[in-house]
Amino acid sequence: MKYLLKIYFPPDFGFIIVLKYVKFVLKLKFNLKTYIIFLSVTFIWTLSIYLIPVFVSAGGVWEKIADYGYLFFASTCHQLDDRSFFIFGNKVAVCSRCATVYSAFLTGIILYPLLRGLDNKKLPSVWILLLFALLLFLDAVLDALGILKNTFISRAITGSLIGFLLPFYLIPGTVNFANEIYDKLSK
Amino acid sequence: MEKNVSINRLLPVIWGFLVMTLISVTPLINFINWFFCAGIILGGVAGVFSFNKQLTALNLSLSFKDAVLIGILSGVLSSIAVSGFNVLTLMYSQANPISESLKMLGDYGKNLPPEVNKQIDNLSREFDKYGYSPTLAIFTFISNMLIYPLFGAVGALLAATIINNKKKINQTNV
Repeated sequence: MKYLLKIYFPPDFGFIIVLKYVKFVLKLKFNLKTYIIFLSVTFIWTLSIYLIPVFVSAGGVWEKIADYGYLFFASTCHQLDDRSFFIFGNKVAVCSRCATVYSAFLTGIILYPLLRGLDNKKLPSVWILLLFALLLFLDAVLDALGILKNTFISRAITGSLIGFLLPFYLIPGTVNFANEIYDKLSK
Repeated sequence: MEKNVSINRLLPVIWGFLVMTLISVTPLINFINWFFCAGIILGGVAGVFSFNKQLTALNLSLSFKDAVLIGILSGVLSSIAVSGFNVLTLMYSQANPISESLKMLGDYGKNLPPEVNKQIDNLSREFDKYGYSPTLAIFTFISNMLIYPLFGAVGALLAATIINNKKKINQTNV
């Protein structure tokens, strides 16, 4: 693993990638630019939760980075062993519910332009958002009260429903926000 | 949005800050934050709803940049308060969470690699010496400074999108 990381990540690898990425983004249309930045941030966030257990198995400096990664995500998730997925025998940085929320969120962002288009201003009904949030809440609360035990499947379904839906509200908002900032700066 | 002196921009930030902080520091209630940082998102939503209430009374529209700013500022203030509160709680409780966690893990601690054990020992010694771990406190503060404003902004953006969409629908119906 250590050897593979050294081959694929030479010292200037990050810098070259960032430079090429910035060049690519600058050429895009404004709405697409905003979307790509939104997608990139989410991609890095989601990738990091799955990379942390890989770093643990790489050992050395990577393991130290992973330790801080676990600590970083600790304030967003309980990270309980019996409620988490494992990669290479190491725990994913967040629990199974959070992992599916983030993964579905990323999937939603990737599919959004194909399903709605970036110039879309229409939002799904707020009631759908509230319904999905309620399902997630009930799945957790009923389990905590000992009324209905939740499972990996129930956590994955309720998590992915809300995760997939959120970009349909947040992308139009982010595009509008970026346009407002752009207008303000260009005045 | 038009400039108006009667708009209080601090009040929504305080509302957002209060909701985020109270949810994060109250035992049992803080478990809301285990769901995609829902407590922090709710703080951003509360701040924007409070701001929109003022704007509606003055017949003004809500801008996305104001909403996001409310979410970020509430998040920054809350991250400082929550990090400070955590350090104070640890100092007054006189507990060493590191050694307690290792005790709870039982044999698991013995299986940790020597490097990790060394780091854990260092943190544990800091707890014994100062009543809290400066290293852990600094790192938690930095991560809170990233997470709180980020999720606060997400909540604020979500609220602003829904509010503006609702207003647009109402206008087209009229």
